[in-house]
Amino acid sequence: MTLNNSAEFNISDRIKTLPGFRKCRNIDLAKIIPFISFKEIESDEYLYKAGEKSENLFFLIEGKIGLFSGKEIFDEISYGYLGEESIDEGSYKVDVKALSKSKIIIIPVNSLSMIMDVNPEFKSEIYSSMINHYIKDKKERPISRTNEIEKPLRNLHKIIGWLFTIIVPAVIYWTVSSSDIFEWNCKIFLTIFSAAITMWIFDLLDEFIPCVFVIASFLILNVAPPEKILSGFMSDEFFLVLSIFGIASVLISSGLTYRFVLFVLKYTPQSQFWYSIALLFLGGIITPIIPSANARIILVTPILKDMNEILGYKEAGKASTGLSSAAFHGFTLFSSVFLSSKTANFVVLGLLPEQIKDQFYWISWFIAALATGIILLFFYVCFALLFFRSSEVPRSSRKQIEKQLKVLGPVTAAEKFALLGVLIFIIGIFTSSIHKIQLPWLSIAILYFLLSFNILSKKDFRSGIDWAFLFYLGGLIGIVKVMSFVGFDNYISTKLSWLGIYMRENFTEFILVFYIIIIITRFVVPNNVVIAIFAVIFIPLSEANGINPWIIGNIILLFSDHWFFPYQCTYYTLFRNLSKDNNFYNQKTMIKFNIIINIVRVLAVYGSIFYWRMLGIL
Amino acid sequence: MKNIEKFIILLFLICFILFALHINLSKPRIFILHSYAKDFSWVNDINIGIDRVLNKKPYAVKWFYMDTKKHPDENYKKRIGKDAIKVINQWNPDILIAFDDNAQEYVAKYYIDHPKIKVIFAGMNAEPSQYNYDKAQNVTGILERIPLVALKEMMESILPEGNRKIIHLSDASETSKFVCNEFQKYDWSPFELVEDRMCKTFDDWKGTVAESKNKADIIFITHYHTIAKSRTDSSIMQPQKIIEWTDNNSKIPAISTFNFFVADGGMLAVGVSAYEQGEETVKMAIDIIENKKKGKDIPIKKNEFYVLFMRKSGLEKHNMKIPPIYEQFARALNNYFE
Repeated sequence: MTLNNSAEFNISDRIKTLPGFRKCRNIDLAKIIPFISFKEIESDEYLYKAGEKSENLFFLIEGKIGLFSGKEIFDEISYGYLGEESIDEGSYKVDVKALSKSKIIIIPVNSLSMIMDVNPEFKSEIYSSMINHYIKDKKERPISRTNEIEKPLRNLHKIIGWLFTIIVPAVIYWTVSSSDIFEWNCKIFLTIFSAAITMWIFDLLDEFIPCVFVIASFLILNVAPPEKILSGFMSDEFFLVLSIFGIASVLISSGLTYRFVLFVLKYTPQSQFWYSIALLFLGGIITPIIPSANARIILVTPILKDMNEILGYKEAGKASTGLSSAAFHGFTLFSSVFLSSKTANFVVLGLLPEQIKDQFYWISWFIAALATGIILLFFYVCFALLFFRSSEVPRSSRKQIEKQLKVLGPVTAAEKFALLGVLIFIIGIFTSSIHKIQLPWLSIAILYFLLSFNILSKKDFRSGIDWAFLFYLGGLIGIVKVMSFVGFDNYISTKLSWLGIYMRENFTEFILVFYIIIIITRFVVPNNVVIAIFAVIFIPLSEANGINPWIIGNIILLFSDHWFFPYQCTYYTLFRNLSKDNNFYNQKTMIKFNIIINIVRVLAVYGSIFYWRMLGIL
Repeated sequence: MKNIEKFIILLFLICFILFALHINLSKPRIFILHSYAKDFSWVNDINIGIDRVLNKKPYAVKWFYMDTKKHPDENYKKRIGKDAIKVINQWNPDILIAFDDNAQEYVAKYYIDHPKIKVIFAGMNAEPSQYNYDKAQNVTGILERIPLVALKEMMESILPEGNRKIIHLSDASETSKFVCNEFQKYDWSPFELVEDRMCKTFDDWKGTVAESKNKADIIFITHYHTIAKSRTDSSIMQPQKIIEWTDNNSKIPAISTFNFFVADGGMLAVGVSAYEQGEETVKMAIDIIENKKKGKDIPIKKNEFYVLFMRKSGLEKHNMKIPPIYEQFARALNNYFE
């Protein structure tokens, strides 16, 4: 049955409410509308049968449909997707028959390719629906995700935030415009930058958007020469991060990292202690390879879920929480130790003075942060042993891991090339004194290698590289250059000279004061913004006061990771969301343990002072 | 609630646009007009001088390059002049800074006593009266006068007594005519200016260079950027090729009063400081804007500073011994070419 006008109207409206389509752009929806049709089937009529070519995705909007495996019905639905297997070409896997008169929307899969390209979540939504057919005790999937209580509060927060974004720059401009202290472009700089900071603090937009606003405003208002404003987009760090994203994307999409994790777990001695150590070790290895704590959490959480199930730990018990803590902290705690473990590290690197920057690429960054890493690891193991001590004995997990490895099959060509790319990169880092090629250009060459062999496809190049972060990075570096051009860094150095003197003459006390300032700020300001603001201010200040700016940058990175409440930490929120259905760890215990880890971070900085002095960088 | 949020975002954008408009519209506008192109080292150095002073000033600046060195024909100059006038009228600046003679001849002189636009000239070899600037209320500027005293001092130190005959060689441009006038009026003693030769084609140039060794002890080169390839081909010779040929074929040394001569491969230049031309004009512009002055309130200046440019290979080729102080001066300004 084709669409009549009223049905078309209904479906046009309805399509926007279907799971997976909600986040699609109207323009993409408009393009598929002509291909969508509507069908009514009578009771006992087959919608499709197993083995038929799967060309359409269906959505049941009214009636009742049964999914049959042979003669046995294994799922019965009255609203939702059917024929999800059509997303991947092939044939339908089950028989689907109407149990009562039903109304169905038919969506040809060919018409969905554009939506799947621009909206990767769409595919996950369809897969999730497919899996739901096979789960016996499924929970009801909410039709709408909107949290009716949260939304008005969120909107109010945004309204207040935008009001501040209008008022704060206006007040700043009014205050500084009559002052003789600043030159005109410094006044404009302060006005624009204050608007961006307000946007960041109130979390009004994705964090890269205020950077775009600042850069565009500086260019429009001629605050500095364009080459200064856009310097971040021509910097070494920009190209370095671009290539790192590319390499990491290949590592993840090829499945190499997943295989590596399973491989390590296969040979781990079967005890509570060793499984936790294995997860910590894996975290230590994966941390410098994947430059995003969120991406690492996404990688480790399914493995953790499997491990908890296989090992048979009590739900939310000490053993399972200990294992979860090892996975969570193993994959996130050492972010400041490796340059490539977190994109924000590149922000700090980018803000370092040229003469310092060259001293802190990969290996030298790692060597300088080694003491911090060792202290973090040592205290983590000690406290975890005390905190998560339990008498639970794990069941054998080896067979399950072997099964998973078997499914993965032999190492694929993509994995081999990905490994080759990483090896060339590592060799390049270690031999930089011989080949004299700067690392950003070496990494770009590797990116070229991955692209030219199509190991990194054009699609992955678009989706695997965090272009928003690159804008954020380029923008921030530009802001700092402009800040220096307009002379605001000198002003800050003068105004905060007392803190500079403190920094220079009593570094241990300075750390404590600095720590308190950062944790208070972190209650209201997101992590990356704290890094940006503090690095922009304190790196020039440390340079002016003869303290190695890398040390201050590294301390900022370490302290800004502090959190007490889940809302303060995006990767913990992600970890919690990814594991909420399984309830395999105790959230309260995790949060309490995290407070100890916060203290450990401070101890790690104090413990590193002696080491930094020994290295001659403090 | 959502609508209120959208309204406030819109309000923010409106405020920002108004702010940007207020800032941009309240900025005094300076139009910088060059007679030549951006890739000419003289222009480049003037721009460096401009940037040094203009650096953080809250002015809106627009640049226009007439490129009349590469296109010396009259039709082109008239056309580009009209284009420049059109752009200036559209942009409606507060100040027009015009560099070198073509910018005065084809553009700036039409703004004499303009009710809004003040004119600042620079790099001008002609007398102000040539463009009626001497009677204008809204015009001031800095004249470009070859530092002949400094040049004589330099020649005294490198040419022995009895070998002090000079031949002046240039193209046949308007600027060169003004330069010739200036040279003819100047007292060259103890040197003797034996001839002023303005060449239209490269063949003329080659002939003059070849004859020079019988007439003089040194060739004095000023402008050479409008020399046609031949009588039949009116396209312009590449300046570097002219200097390269001269350096290879001249039996006597050649010096100049312009930095671009050494940049093009020449041996030595005692030239007008292009930085000074750029800096002084912007200082005058700031004086006019900030003190609400008219052009005539600021007296017309002459350039005070000169710069030295040297090329080691050229000096060695002609066995020239330069006093160390000159060499150090050129090195200190980063004008010493190895």
